[in-house]
Amino acid sequence: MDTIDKIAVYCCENSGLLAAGPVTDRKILDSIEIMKLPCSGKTEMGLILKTLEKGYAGVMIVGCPKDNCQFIRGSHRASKRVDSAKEMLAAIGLDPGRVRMEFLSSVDSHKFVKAVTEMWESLKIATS
Amino acid sequence: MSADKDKTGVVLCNCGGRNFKKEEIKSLQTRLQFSSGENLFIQSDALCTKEGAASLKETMSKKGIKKLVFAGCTAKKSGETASFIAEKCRIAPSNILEVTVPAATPEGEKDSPFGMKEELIRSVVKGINKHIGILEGMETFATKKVPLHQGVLVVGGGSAAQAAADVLTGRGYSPILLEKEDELLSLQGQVGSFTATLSTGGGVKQADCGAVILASGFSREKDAWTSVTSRFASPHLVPLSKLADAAAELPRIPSGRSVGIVLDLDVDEGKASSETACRTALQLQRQDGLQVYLFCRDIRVGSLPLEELYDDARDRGVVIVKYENQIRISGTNGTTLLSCTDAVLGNPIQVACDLAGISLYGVAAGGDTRLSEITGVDLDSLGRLQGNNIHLFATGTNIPGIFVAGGCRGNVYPPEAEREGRAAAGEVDLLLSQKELKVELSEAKVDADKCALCLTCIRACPHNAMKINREESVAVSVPEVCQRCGICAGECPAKAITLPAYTDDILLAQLG
Repeated sequence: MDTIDKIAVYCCENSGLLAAGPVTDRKILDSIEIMKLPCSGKTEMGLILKTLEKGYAGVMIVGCPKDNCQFIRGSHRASKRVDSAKEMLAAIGLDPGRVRMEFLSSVDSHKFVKAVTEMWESLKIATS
Repeated sequence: MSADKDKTGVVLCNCGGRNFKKEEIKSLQTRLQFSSGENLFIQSDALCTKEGAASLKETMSKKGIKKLVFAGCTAKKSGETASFIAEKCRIAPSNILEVTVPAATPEGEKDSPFGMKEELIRSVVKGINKHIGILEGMETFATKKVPLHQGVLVVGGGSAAQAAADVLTGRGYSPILLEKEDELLSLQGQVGSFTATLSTGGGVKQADCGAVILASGFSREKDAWTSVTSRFASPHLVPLSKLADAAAELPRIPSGRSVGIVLDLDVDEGKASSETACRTALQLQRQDGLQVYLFCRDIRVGSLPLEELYDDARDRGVVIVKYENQIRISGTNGTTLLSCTDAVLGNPIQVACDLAGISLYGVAAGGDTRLSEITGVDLDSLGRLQGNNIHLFATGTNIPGIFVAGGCRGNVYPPEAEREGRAAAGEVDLLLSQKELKVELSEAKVDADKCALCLTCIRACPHNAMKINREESVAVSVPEVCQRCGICAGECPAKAITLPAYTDDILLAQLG
């Protein structure tokens, strides 16, 4: 299995994608791959696992703040699914920290950068 | 992807040598060697003119080029030239990518960043196959026209419902107004074609409508009062609406009598409660030997008449106490003891009243679950119709085609409730005046072989778009209701549901 030194970031197009838009830091942009979802609630367990199977270092799901989801309950559902994905990873002996859920609004670019940086740091600590 | 085999043409658009210098072009041709080795370099002038495009088309058909990456200047808006060339050269818009390069600097000045140009073009050429792959993976969807029934059902007989009905009538609709004695028994169907079963004075009947406005007012007085009496044992408590009548029956005693009014018992209330409280307080305070104490967390007087009413009440001697956290109510020796902490000074305050009126709008109780169950509209944390979500404000609900206004969504201040009624009517007009909805058939698709009818999607869908097809024993998504969020696809334990525009293949193709 090839390892890819990147975090796959699945962004809700209503919040996360807009938050990621203004990020210009090359170091951050080179370390992530951004994918668009219609809603973070679309996140499927299989997709998370397939992405990890492809060799990505981590998967981050970015959804709207819980009471502010365009589709009412999407990010709430997504967070539950991310929790169970973590459990699944732990059960097969992988680091559950490789999956992470963030709740960001469309203007939270600084929080987006912070979350990516934090995730990288925790992944590096876990692997070293 | 078949597109991989086609040759990619890289066009350097170079009007009058503005973008690339001769040596730059030569160097790019030797340095930009791609794995396929089939990429062709064409140098061209004025691609954004008819002549330029015509000559490009000729070259392309001669050399069998199906995909283009062109590097050009910023003379036109990004994408404009690309779509122009795509149209003139008859290639799919997905097969052309544009990259803007910085202009070559005049002789003698420091060179424009050549390395950057190379990198830019290289990345776009690399990206075009991915780009085509993603666009090819996406189906183009057929559309369907859904006729919108022009009937409107307005549930409620209050001012909000009346205002909504008035606006609708003014705009040429004939709304069915369901007043207090009538009842909505069930609501089937979806936006554009609801069927409501109504119980009216003339018996049970069915009515078709394209949209529904719920403006049924505040209907939890009974629940709220039960909640108050179960919590506080004092016999000298009445609902605020009955306080004036109850106070009239108080025995006259020389030392005077005192009456308390409690607002914001559990939750903060709005202007309507402030108005009622101030009016009742004024009316009582005017009577001989009666002192009124008004307890509230905040008085809301955000309009001129309310401000004046509040001032008047204070001038007449109503004592207004702004309390913090919870107010305690206990009954001793024929009086009701109201105790709280003052919000400004932090002092404890205790007032013994002969009678206390509790505003029921501030009591957290049960909730109007009946309408919610019938229509599928979410309740908020206080049990009012309309979920706690800013995207729904002011009159929207989680169900397309159903709108809320006034008391049932928690706003009981008459001017605002009426405004909401009018706003809801406006929304209905906006929807129904289209006469038919043009719906792209990109809704969530259910694989009948995999679907076990476990009803997970039906529970998960926030918009009630999933229905059961009983003949084929499969869940189906109604295209005009489905909002394409994919929550059902994410939840389905059998992976029977896919969202066509976001299949796993498309998402994983983006990952590269």
